[in-house]
Amino acid sequence: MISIQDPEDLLSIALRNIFSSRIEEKEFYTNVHNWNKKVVLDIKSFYPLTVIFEGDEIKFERGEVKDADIILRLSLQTLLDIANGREDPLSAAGKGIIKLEGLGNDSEKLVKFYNIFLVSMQKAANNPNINYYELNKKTK
Amino acid sequence: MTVIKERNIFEKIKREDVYKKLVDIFGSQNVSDKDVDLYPYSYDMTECKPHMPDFIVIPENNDQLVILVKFCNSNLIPIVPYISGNNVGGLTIPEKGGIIVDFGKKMNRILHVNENMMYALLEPGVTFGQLKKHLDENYPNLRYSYPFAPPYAGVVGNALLSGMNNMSSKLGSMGDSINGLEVITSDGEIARIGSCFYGKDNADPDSWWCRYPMPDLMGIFVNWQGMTGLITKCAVQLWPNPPYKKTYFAGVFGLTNVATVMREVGRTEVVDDVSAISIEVTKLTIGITKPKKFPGEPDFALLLPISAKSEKLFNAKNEILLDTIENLKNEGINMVLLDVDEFVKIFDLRFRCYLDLPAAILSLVEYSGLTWFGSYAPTHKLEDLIQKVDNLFYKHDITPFIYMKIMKHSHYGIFRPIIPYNKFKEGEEEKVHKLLEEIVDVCLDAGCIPYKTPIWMTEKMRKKINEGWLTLFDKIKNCLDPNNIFNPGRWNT
Repeated sequence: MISIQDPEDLLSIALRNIFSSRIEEKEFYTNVHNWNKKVVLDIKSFYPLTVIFEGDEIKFERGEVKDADIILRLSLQTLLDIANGREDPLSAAGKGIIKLEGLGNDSEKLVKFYNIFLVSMQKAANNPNINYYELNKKTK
Repeated sequence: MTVIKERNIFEKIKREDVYKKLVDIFGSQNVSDKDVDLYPYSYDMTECKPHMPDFIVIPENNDQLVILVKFCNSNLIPIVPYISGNNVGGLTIPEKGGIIVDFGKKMNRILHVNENMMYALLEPGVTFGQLKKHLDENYPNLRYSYPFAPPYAGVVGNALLSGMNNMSSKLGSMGDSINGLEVITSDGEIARIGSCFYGKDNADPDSWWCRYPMPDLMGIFVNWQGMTGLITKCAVQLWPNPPYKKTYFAGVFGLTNVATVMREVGRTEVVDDVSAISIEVTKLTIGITKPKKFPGEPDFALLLPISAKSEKLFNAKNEILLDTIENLKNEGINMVLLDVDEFVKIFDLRFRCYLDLPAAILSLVEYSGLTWFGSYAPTHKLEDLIQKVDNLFYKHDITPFIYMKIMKHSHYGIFRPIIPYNKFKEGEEEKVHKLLEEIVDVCLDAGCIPYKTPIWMTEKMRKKINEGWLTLFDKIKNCLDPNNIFNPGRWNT
């Protein structure tokens, strides 16, 4: 099981929410387990955030670490457009509305990044159930 | 200040005789003088000082209430109306003891809905949840408007106390949306106010459609906190429930920039509501008990719902709103605007409690205590108020919780610092009260007018109100309630 840190800043809270919805998925576990990467999300108008994958843990650190493996820069609206299928990530990169650094030719890194971030966001965005208490009967 | 002698409420009649009379009127099942039953009525969420009532009664009809009022008036016994005890101002704490009249249990019927003239005739105990369910199931083409209150809070109390709602940018105060009232005055007379005043004995249920143009007697009952009579019926306006709806979430950076955004968006006349909360509150909502704001986060979160009858109208409103936001950004205001349905799925679904009203909002109900300075505010002073009150929250090491609204397309606003707290933690009530008092002083100096006011707050207000107003207020109170039986103590009566 992947453990996700309980954060206190807005962007980390959102990411925790997105990742948590997949916490019981085998595919998510396989991708995150021992990925050991640092991914920086730099959301325009907000602040850079580093997501640290370490063993079976996901941690968050406000700010941009110097040794980041991947850096993604975009606006919150673009993020929602991609998550909701209004924008294709590749064409967004082509248009320059997202900037992605650090992937190089490492296809495994790309696939894992795509699955952990974009697929998770898309799954959260497309979940038809909007009732928190229906989804979380065990906790509340 | 009105001078009323401290009185022993059993000076004219023995306690046991009062009990006997109440049993005669309401039946033994609907009367209690047992501490175990009285205790829940002795306090509310606030830090206002508790006081036990002497009796509670559960009425079913006007006949019982007329006898009760006449009896209390002859024997100088206080009457305190009660619905669900959810006000945040100690309004139903029986300051002078007496009888709590609990409308919430049996006088909670939706008596009539007039679909054509769009109003609902309600008994005082009807709750927001009950009205919403009734409309959704039977009149889906109509809607009521809801405040940030739980489904079990009372509709009539909120309207009578000039509460707000999620269409306030359009409608303003809920007090303006009352079509008619039925009230029992201190002599036991029943008066109907509004267009329902025709009809010597009874009113036609379809006659509660307007409050003008006769002399507006409603003003002697609205906002009086139950001090002038016992309201037994209230007709509230309903509105068309349009099929096209969308709510935007806006994150505004820079502590006081939110004031400009609220005023400008309000003036567009295209939004149903403009409400703002400190960003820390979005975190309280998802269970972070002592949230902090970090650098780079927006200072305020805004909700901006729009609705329309046709797609064309909806698109036009949407365009005006987006243009306004774009202009504000061009003028240098840093903000993000998102579809709230998309935002909550990414952020946290619990944030939906602000959208799916009425709802039990976690940040308001999770703690045993809640207090606030809820006020109508001059919108041109919002920047100053936000800055000063935010500083006070930090000075007292309490999470800032500022809730604001634009009323009637920016004619006026709501400024409401809120403090959730642990009622049973030693020293906590004193701590929050100290902060609240400092907030009250700042806000009264800026001209804010609190509503649902606790007594200690009206005492401060009286020092600022002109003598003519106070004299007139006292004259009206004394005229309508010469024996001071209706909710005595409120507004320092």
